[in-house]
Amino acid sequence: MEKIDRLSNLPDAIIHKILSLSPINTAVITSVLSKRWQYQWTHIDTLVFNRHDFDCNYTRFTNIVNHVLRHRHPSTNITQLSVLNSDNDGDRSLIHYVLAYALSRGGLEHLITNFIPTIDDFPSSFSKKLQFASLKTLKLNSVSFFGCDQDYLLSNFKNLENLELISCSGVLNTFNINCPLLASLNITHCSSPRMFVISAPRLKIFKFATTYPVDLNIDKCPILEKAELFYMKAALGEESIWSMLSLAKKLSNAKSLTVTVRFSGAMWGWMLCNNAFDEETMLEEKVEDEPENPWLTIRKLEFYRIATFRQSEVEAVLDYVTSFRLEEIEFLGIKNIPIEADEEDESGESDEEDEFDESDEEDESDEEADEEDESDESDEEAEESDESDESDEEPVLFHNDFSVFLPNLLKSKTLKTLKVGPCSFKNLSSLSLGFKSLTTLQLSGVSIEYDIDNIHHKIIQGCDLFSGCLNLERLKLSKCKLENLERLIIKAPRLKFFELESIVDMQLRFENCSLLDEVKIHYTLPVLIAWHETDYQNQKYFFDMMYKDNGGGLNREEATLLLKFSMGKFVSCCINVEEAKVVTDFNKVCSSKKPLY
Amino acid sequence: MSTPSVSVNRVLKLKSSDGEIFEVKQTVAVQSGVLKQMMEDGCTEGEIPLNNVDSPTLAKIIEWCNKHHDNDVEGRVLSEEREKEKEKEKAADMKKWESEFIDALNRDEIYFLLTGSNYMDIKELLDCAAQKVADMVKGKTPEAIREMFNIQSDFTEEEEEAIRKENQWAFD
Repeated sequence: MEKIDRLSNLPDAIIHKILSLSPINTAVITSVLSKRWQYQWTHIDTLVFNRHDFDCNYTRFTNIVNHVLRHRHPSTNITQLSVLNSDNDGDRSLIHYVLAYALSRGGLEHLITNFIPTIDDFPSSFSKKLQFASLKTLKLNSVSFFGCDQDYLLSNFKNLENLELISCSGVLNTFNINCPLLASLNITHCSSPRMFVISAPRLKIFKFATTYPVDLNIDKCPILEKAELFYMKAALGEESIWSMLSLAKKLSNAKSLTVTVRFSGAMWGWMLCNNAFDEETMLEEKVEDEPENPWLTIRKLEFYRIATFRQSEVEAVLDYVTSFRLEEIEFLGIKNIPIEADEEDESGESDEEDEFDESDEEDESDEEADEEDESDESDEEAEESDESDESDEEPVLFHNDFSVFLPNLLKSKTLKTLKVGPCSFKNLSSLSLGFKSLTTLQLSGVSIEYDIDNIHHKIIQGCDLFSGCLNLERLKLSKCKLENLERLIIKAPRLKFFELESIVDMQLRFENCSLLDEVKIHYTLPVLIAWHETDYQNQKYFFDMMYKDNGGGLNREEATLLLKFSMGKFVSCCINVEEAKVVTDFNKVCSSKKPLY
Repeated sequence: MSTPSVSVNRVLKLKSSDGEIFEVKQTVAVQSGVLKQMMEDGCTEGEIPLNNVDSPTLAKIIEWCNKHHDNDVEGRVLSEEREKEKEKEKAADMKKWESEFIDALNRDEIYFLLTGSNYMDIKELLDCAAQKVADMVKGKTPEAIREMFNIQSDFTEEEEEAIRKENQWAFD
């Protein structure tokens, strides 16, 4: 490379840009590079003071901020200012000084701060003066507005596009937000105001999370794209759902609208989700049709920690909801009910997977939970362990038997997706599940048990559980178990995708699945079983699947079969079915791919 | 905004400092503040001389602009339901493409790209290149930065020591 100092030859403006994009201490140390660089850093327009980055005590943090501000070139504006304290110490004088400094320069576009403790007159200095008219981004975390002029609090930001208020407090009655250019608004767990009055005609993204009932008065937002409403720790009864749904109605023109209501109390931990994608009109219509019924608009229902419910409660909810337009139900299991397996020594691996699954689910449904919520949950979990340990003595629980809900669920004519977590289908007396509208079915850790007395023994050898699901397209069986059946026959004329995760041998046969074009199999054998003892069975099993059998099986050219085995180690192999037909010895397929034994 | 003379098929002829001619669609060229202004003023007939941009750099700049233009157009064709998903993917793809584009450049090329995009007023490219330099400098000692960019110190030892002392916190 040539020995030319190109960097120093850059125009000042570009050097200032580069230094503005650098951490502040890197910008400052460039002052010793050469005389050309000595004062370049004093022109940076982005100031990020994050105490966490400096890793120092408050006094030193203050000294650094002061030092930078004192040395900055007097004519340079600040466009972005971020002052973040990492601990709960410190006082107000620093933020006052920094804000006053920024005010005196003008041009501030982005302001991010979490300055704790409360900074009483910080916001009122906003509203009195218009120097912050340039502000585009304002993010406040744990800031108190106590004592400031509440009517004008956030009403003078003519150019504000992005506003985030997290855990802010101090406004007692009405919180006014009047920002003509606001595009993104996030209000999360702001305590105390009884009412928010929002006027933001250009709003595109709106997120609102609360732990208590709040009145929200929001003007029409004609270009709203995404609205998310979270209501944590709601009290029992329909009133709280009501307040959220009436709120949702105001936002019903959003392209995507999600309402989440979570009830407090271990027994009622369930969640309503309303996804009104492209169904704005329907939502609105329905709410007007029958305004007394908040259940009407619910599309998706999730029950989590299913074992903590009383059967009667779940039945009541299902009974009510399934007569409307419910499309998706998810029953998430609990981790304390073990998946029964033939082998006593179940590999630790699958246990871990279970836990992992559980935590995944938690994350999804619980993104917005604040710390208090989390601690609540751990309490709940503790209770659960107790409950499930003594589950035999606890008569209100539904004994982990999902089939009691089937009559209710089968009533629904709109149900498209059903996901069921660890539990049993006990004493099934009818041969097939007649979910006529269902397109996606996912069973994880479900053990299926027929009522042998009522079903002819011959049929028990192979049962087409899903043949009544005429529209089923996706079927996933994960760690499921057949209690008194030898084989499960999958007979679903529209089935396109099948996935099996199994820890025990599971005999499946496909019949009349002529549309099936993707099969995934993850097969985890218990560690104690040596491969050679079961390979014959495996071989037979997979051939059953691959061969055309009564016109069923994988007979589409583009179909693929993905196999994964595990015996401590994993083997993957992906077989195109065309190819697989040629393969007559399954062991060859395996041995060509894996160096297992 | 008035951009009356911009049409999809019209092409601008850009002449680099070493005399090479590049053809760029008007719809692509609007990413450059300078060219956009010229189009609005209606003075883009004939060759447009870019005296501060040499041909390898101009080629790079046009590659960047074409890529960003393609991305915009594709995004609009998609149906609404898939749009969200696709947009996320696109954004990720574009990020990847940008970082590969920038990472493939040597220091001289980055320098010319910085001055070129500054001269042609292409904000996104300028930001991207500046960020790259900022990332290279981040967390380095002054000695390492000097070494990396061949910067010669013209301070006396005493002078340098004085500056270090003044800004001691940043050197800790």
